[in-house]
Amino acid sequence: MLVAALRAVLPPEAIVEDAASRAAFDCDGLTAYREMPPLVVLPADADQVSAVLRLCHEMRIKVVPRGSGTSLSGGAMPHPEAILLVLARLNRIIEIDIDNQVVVAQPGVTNLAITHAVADHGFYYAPDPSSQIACSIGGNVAENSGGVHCLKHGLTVNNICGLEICLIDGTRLRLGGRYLDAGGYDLLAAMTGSEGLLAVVTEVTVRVLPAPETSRVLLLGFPTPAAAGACVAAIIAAGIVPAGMEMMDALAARAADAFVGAGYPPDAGAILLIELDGPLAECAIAVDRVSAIAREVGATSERVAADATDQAALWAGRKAAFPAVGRIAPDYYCMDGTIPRGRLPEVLEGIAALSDKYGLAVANVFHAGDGNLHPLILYDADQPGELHRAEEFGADILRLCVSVGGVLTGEHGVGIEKRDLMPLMFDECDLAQQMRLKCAFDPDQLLNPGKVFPTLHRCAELGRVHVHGGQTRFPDLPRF
Amino acid sequence: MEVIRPTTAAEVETAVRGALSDRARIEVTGSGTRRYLGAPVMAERQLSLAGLDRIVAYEPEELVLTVEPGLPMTALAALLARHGQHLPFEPPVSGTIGGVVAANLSGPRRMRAGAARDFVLGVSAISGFGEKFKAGGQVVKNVTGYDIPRLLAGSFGTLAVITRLTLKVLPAPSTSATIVFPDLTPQDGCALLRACAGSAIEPSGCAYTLDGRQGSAFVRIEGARAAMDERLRGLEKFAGRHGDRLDDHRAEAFWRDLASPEELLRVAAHEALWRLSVPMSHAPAILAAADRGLVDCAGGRIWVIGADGSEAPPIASDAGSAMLYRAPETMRRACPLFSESPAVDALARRVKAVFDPHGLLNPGRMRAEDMSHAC
Repeated sequence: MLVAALRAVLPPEAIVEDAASRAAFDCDGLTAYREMPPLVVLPADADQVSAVLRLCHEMRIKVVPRGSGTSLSGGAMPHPEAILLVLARLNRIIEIDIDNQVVVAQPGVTNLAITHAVADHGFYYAPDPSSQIACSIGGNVAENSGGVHCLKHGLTVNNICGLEICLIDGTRLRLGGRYLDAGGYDLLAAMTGSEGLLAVVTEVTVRVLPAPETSRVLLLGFPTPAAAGACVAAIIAAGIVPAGMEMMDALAARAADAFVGAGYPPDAGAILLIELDGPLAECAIAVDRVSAIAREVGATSERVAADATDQAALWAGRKAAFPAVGRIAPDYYCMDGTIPRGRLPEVLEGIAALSDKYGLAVANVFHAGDGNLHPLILYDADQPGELHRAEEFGADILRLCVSVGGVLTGEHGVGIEKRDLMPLMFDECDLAQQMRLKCAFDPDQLLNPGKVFPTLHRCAELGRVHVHGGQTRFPDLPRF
Repeated sequence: MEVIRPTTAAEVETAVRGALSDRARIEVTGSGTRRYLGAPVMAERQLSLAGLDRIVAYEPEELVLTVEPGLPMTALAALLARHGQHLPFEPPVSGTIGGVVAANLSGPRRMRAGAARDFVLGVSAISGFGEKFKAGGQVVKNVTGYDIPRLLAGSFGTLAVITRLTLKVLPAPSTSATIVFPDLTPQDGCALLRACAGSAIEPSGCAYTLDGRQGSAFVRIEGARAAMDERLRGLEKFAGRHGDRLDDHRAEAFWRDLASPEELLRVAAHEALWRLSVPMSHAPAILAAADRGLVDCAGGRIWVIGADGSEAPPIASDAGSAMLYRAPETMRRACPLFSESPAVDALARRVKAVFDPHGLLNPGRMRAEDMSHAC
C-alpha cells in the first residue's frame, strides 16, 4: 500500500525494492551492526522528501533518514519496520555567496565539496571530520560533526547559520539564513546533533571562513602520552589556541607510519601533531613559543614541516590512523568519549588496565586540544565472543570517561551504539525532558526509531507524568 | 508583586513547584538590568536569581567555567581577566551571566567568534514541570543528547529556569589595535568592512558609523604584539587605503559600547532601537533607508532607530531577522521581540509547551498571546 502511494509522488528510480539493491544500505560506518531495510527511497528534491514524509505520517510508517551512511554510531542503521530515506541525491550546491561568506547546499553535498567549491575564492569550511571526502553536510548537521579543526573553529553547530527542514508531517520550514542571529528559540541548535530524530534536513546554509594566510605543522615526540598531555595543557595555558592539536600513542603512530610513511619518530611513546595558522609573522611567533614549551616539558623530538607537501604527509598519517589500525588487526572498534584534559593520564592508565582485563589491544588517537578520545579497540570478529568483549571494553572506557567528568560522545553521536549507556550521564528527568523535545517535533515518534533513547515513552505520557528525582518510574512500554 | 529570592537550586525548584501548584505565573530575573527586552511580563511572582551567584568550578587549562546564573558580569569578567581569558562573544559587561545567556547577547566579536549560544556547554535547570534536569556537559566537545543548553540560550527564561551554566572560555588576545577609515559613504564603508572580514587578517571587529551622509569604518585587529605591524600592513592592503590608529582607550570604549549602543546612537525615550541581522551585503541599502544607525559585524548586524510605533525595518522574512531591542512600553506590548514565520512560530509554541506546559515562566516576554504581527 505504501509503495503504491509512493509511486504517485516519486519517480520509479527513486524507489528501491529488490533485495540485492537494498542490501547496499544494510549498515552505516558502524559495520558491526546490520539490518536489512524493508524499503529504500531516494528522493531527488525537497518536494519529494516532503511528499514521502507526509505519506509516512499519514500511514504511521517509521522513517530512518540517511546521508552518506558514514555514521560511526549507527545513526543511519536501518530499522526492520522503517523505510530508509536516503538524501544522497540532493547533492547540489545551490549557491556560493562569497559576498556574504556563505554557501547554500543540499544535504547530500559532501563536506569536502563545500571547501572545494570556495577554495578558489580563498575560503574554506572549517569542520573537517576524517570522513570528509564522503560524509554529507546534512549528516554533519544531524551528528553535529567535528574534526581536527574544531578546537579553534567549533563544531558544525558553530559553523552553520541556516537550515531548511521538513517535519514528519511534510511541513517545510526555514530556520535562520544568510545572517547571524535569527532570534526566537534556537531551533537550529536543537536540530544540530539531533541524529535524525526531530526532522529531515533539506537544505543547509554554512558559513565559510577566509583561508589563513599561512599554516605550520609541528611534529613532536614524547616518552609517554602523559608527557604529551602536559605539553597540550602548557600550550593552552600560554594562551595559544592551535588550529589543530592531535595526539597518537605509540601503537597508533607506528601503524599510521607503516601505512602511509608519515615520518613519525619510531621510538616515541606518543606524538603530537600541532597546526598553527594565521598571518606569517604571527604564525612564526607561535611556532617558536610551542617549540620552547615542548622542550620545557620534555619532548624527545621535534620537526617543523618544511613545506605544504611535508605538512600534508604529516597529516596523512593522522587522517589514515583508523584504516592504518585496521591493517594490524582484523577489526577495530572506535570509541569517542571526551574527558577534561587534565584527567588524561589516569584515563589512559585505566584504558591500559581494561586492555589487560579484556585481553584486547587498544590504539589511542585523540583530538588532544579538546580532550576527545578515540581509543581503537582491536579485535577479530571471527573469533567467537570477541566482538562482544570489544563492546564491553568500549562501554567500560565510556564509563571511565563519564566518571572523571567527561561525556559519552564528543562527535560521533549516540545512535544505536551508546543508546543504552545514556543513563550513565542522564537521570530519568534529564532523559524525559529530551524526549519531550522530540515530542514537539515528532509526536508520533516516527523518525529514526530506536536511536539515542534507551527507553521509550509515549508523548502523551511524557506530558502528563512528573518525574521527581528519578524516583517515579514510567510504566514499561514496548520498544519499537 | 511577591519577590522570591532563592540562593540554591533546591530553593528554585521549590519556588517553581509552588508556582505550579498555585498556577502562579513567574517573572524570572537576574539583576533586572535588561527587563526592557521584550514585552513586560504579566506575572504574580518574581523569581530573582541574583542570590545564585557562585563560581562553581573554573579550570583555565580546560577552557571551561561553571557558574550560577546570578553571577554579575563584572565579577565574571574580572575573574577571567586574572587568568588571561575571556568570553569570546564579547557580551555587555553588565547584569548577570544568566541574563546574558538568556538573551543570547553578543558584541562585535559575534561575526567571527559567535554569540552566547556558541559558548554554552551545559546547563542545570528547572522546567515548567517543576522538574530539575541537566543537559549538555562540562567538557568543550560533546554531542551526547539534544543540544538543550543552546536551545535555552536566547529563550529569555521562557522554557526553564537555569540554575547552573557551563561555558567555554578562551585565551584573550594579548594586543589589539583599531584603525579608523574616515569619510566613506555607507556603500564604500560597508564594502571595505566586507573585504577585511573576508581576508586572512582575521579582524575581530568591523563597524561603520554614520555621520550625515558620510561615515567612518572601524576595524579591530588582535594578536601577538610582535606581529601587529604585519597585521596592520595587511589590513591597509585589504582596505585599499590608509587609516588612522585610534587611541587604545577610545577604541576599548567604542567596541564595548557597540554591544549595546543606546549611548552611541543617543536613543531618546520615545524612540525604538532595532537590532537587525541581515546578509552583510544588504547593509548599505538598509542603512540608507534609516535616519540614524550603525553597522557592526561587517554589515551582518545593523542597529537602526525608529520613531515610537513605527514599523519594523523592511526585511524579507527569508533575508534577515529584526529584534525590537529597546522601545517605549506601548510598542513593546504591541510587537513581538522577534519576527518569525507562521510555521516556525507554530513549532516554537510546541517547544514552549513541552518545557512549560502551563505557561508559568516569563509569560509574554518573547511574544504576548494577543500580539499582532503588524510591527
